[in-house]
Order: sequence, then structure tokens, then C-alpha cells
Amino acid sequence: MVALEKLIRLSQGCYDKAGPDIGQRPPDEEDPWPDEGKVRALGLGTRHDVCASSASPRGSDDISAAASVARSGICHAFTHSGRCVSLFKTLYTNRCFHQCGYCSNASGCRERDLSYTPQELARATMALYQGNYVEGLFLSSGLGRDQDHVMEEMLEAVRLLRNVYSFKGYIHFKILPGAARHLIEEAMSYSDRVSINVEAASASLLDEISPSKDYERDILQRQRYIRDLQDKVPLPAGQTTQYVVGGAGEADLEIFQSLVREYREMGIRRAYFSSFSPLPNTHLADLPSQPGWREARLYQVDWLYRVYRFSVKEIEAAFDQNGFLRDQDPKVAVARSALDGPVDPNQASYAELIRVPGIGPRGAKRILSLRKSCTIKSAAQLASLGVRRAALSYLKLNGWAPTTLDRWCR
Amino acid sequence: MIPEDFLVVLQAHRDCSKRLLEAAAKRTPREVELGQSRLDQTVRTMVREVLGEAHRMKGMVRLSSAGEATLCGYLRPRHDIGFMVAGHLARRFSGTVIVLGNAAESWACLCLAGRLYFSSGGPLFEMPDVQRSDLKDKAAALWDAYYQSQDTGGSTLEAFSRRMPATARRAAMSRERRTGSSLEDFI
Repeated sequence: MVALEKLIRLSQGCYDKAGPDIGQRPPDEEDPWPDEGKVRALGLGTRHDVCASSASPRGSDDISAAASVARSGICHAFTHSGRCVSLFKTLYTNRCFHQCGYCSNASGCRERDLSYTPQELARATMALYQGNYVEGLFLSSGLGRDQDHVMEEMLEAVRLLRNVYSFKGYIHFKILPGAARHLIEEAMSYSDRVSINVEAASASLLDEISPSKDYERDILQRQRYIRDLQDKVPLPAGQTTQYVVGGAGEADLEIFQSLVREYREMGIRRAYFSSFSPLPNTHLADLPSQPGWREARLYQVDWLYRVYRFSVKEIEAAFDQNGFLRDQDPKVAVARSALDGPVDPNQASYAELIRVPGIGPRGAKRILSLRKSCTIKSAAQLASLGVRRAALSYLKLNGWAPTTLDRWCR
Repeated sequence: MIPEDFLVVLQAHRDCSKRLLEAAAKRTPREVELGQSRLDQTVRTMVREVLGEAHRMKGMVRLSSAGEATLCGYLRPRHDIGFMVAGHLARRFSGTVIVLGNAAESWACLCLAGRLYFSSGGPLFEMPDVQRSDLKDKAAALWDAYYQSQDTGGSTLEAFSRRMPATARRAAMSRERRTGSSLEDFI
């Protein structure tokens, strides 16, 4: 414990002042400041871009850094619609020449063309970060007149943040479809994570929702660039992607199969899903809005594949004959087909435990730990380990096992 | 998960007694994590309450520039978590003094060359050399505009209240409705 006066003296350089290095400076009053209308309009353009992750394995030992990702992953706020707001998620410009049926930046949708300058964007990011409003920056954009030109301006903004303001916080950079390889490489060198949205499960499906984009050249080829460049330019939080759900009438199974290809071939770290909602003045304006649960169930399926490491064949049991997910936990459907009988928590392996609905990886590990010292006999014991009540229909306790009907009634 | 230094966390709980602390000192983190006894369950619950509040406050506290190398924020927590939150923010803004507090108490922390220096004291208005900056108002307006833009429509109030509990929002809110005073009044 030291006196407050000493803290102030320390920070003001009486001792070993640690501030920005020469050539680096904190933002000051003279830097340009964006007006709130622009912030709102360009923020609106990203509200369907889903990304709340701000955790990056990159540590920062730089004592002159104006930020750090050493301790990240905090949700700063939630909107009333339930979205987590942990990043300053914005477009650089809302101007775009593509006519995507799901996008509010399509030319018929946007009210007026707006764009940040690199200085404005860097200034706004620093202000929000220093106020502890956000954990970092999520930078996307319309394509303007030319994607490479817009990418260069976006890069100038992150260059300012990193080199001039000494910002070491989290940056998620959206690669624009069709962007040049050298620009992608530079974006990776400044970012924790980069992503390019595949939007649809196949070229023909993309053609329906975004006729002017080339699935192979504009998107998949850029993903391959990112994958290959990672040997040369480390990307701490990897690359991700996002799907529009339901815009092209695709089945959930098609999305899941595409997702598996993305994990295997492109090495993506994770995927996001956004339910389609029609926008006026687009060619998909007459399509119905997709229910939010569809997006939620796809996240659960992704979780089973990515975190629980279930096989593709096992997970496919969750889809109906037409390839759609039902509005119920897909793990229940997987358990019905994967588990032959009730599971004894005192005997079962980790792989068996984790297949029981209501038991997650942490609960399974706790069960394995507890049973080394005592026998699990009651539901109360399991509840104290974080096991949900729904799991009891699949477990055998004290020689008592539920009937198959119990499982189906849940 | 129960952290290795759970006794430090437990000590920050407002209902933690010396007797409870002594009893908890005989337990390991693993025993607390998995234990079925009343003591283990009590300690586990209390540790989670403290960690939960600290986690929320790390995100909800708003900072404003107050002087050349000082960031200041309002915090009135239920548990004694001022140092946890100040330490977290000090690591993030190396070389900048982080001062958090309210009309009754305050916590300050500075991170220099990887070392943390802590200080605590009385009300925030005792802090020397603090000047108010209008940057806070600008940043707050910017945040309001941005936050509103992120709402996709379709209110889920139950989930919203669960994720952003009113008590947590009040604990990190600079303007106190009851008294009409604000953080700036104390500086």
C-alpha cells in the first residue's frame, strides 16, 4: 500500500515514467471527433455482424502500451435484444456497390453515404476504450467504389491506433471480399482476428442472396490467403466467418456441412450465425423473417462439434428428414440416438458423461474428480456439481434408472 | 472454478467473518469446488458472488480522464472488490493512475513496469490535482449513439435484467439518483 500522492508522482514521471514512446502519443483535444449521427449510422450497419469475443491469447508485456489484451473477454453491456456489446463494432463506410439482399448497406437501403476518416475512427476507438466502454475494435465496411481503396483507409486507421496511439487492445478486422493479398497480410499484422463472411453454404446459395459476389474468388480464395499467411503472420485469435441463416431457403444441414468444411479446410476458429430478416428495397424484401431460435440451435450444433468434439455422424441425428433442426436442444436428439441405456455417473467415462444432456465439460470433469473420493448417490450431489435436472432422466443412481419414457417426456 | 487464492476473494465478501475465514483456510480449492459440506457450499457461494460482482464491475465502470495521467470512475460495490477492479484497469492502462470510488471510500492503483501499486482512502474529493475533462461527456455521448445502434429490435427484458442487473448498474453508475450528486461533484 502506498500513498496516493506517490502514485500520482510515479505516474507523472518523478520516477520511471512509463508512457508512450517517442513518436507515440495519447489522443488529444485537437484530434478530429466524429459526430454522433455518423457513429449511429455506421454502427447500425454492423448490428447484424455477430461478434462478442474479445479474448486473444496474445499477451502484452509492453509497459508503454495504452491498452492490453492480457485480461479480456468481458461483456461491457447487453442490448435489450440480448446482444452483447463488448467491441466498438462499426463500418468504415456504408457505401457499397454490391446488392446483397440481407444487407442494410445495399444501395436501396441506406439513406446517405457516410464514412469515417482514419483519424476520426482511431480517435473514437481510443475514447471509448479509455472510458472502459468497449474491449476493442471490430472494423467492417462497405466496399465503397473499390474494395482495395477502402481496405487501405481501414488499414490507415488501425495503423494509427497501433503505431501512434500505442493501442494494444483487441482488433477484429473484417477482410473485404476480393481484397488484395498484400492488404490482407497487412491487416493480419495489426489484428488479433480477421474474418470474411461466407454468408451462404454454397456458391449457388450465395448467388441467390448476393448475385454480384463470386463465392470462389471473392470469399473462399481470401480465406485460403488468410489460412496460408498465418504461417508467416501470426494471428492470435485466428480467422472466423459468418452465415446468414434462411436467406436462400437453405436447410440447416447444408449450413452445418459447409461449417465442417470451413473448420477442416480453412482452419477457422469459430463461426457466427445471423438469422435473415428482410429489408425494404432489396430483392429479398418479400421473404419471411427467420426465427431467432434457428440461429440459437445452429450455435448449439456448432458447440457440439467444436467444443464437445462430437462426430459429424452423431450430430446429424439432430436434423430432421428435410435437413432442418427442431426448436429443441440438439444434444437431446444426439443423446437419444447415441446412448443405449442409462449412464452410471460412478462408472461412465468422460466421453459418455458429456453426451448426457445437462452435463457439460465442466460438470463431467467435476464428476470424475468427486468420484475419486466418494460414491455419487443422490441428485443433490450432482446438482451441487452444476449438473442440470434434465440429466437425471439419463442417469442411473443407486441402482435406480429412469424408463425410456422419462427421457422422451423431458 | 474456485481460484487458487480463493481466501483473498472470500475475504472481500461483505458477510465474511474471521471465523469463516479460519475454517475456509483449512480447505483446498478443490475441496471447496467439489465439497458437499455446508461450509464448502457457503464458501463456494460467497466466492462466486464476489467474483461475479468483480467481473460485472470490470465491464460496467466508466472512466473519465482526470488530470494528465489519471483515469477516474465511480464504483460503489456491495463487496470489497475495489482493488480487484482497479488492479484490472491499471494493468490495462499501464502508467496511468486508476482511481475508483464514491462519496465514502476510494481505491487507487498504478501499474508500472509490471508492478502494481495500491492505495485506498476516503471519499474521492480528497484526491489531489484532479481536473475535470469534457472528454468524458463526449465519450458518453458517443457511447450512447453507438449502443442504441446495436439494438436489433425485439426486447427480451428478462434476459436483459439477468445480464445487466439493476443493482450492478447502480453500483457502477456515476450519477446517484437519490442524492442528485455525481462523480464530478466529488472531484
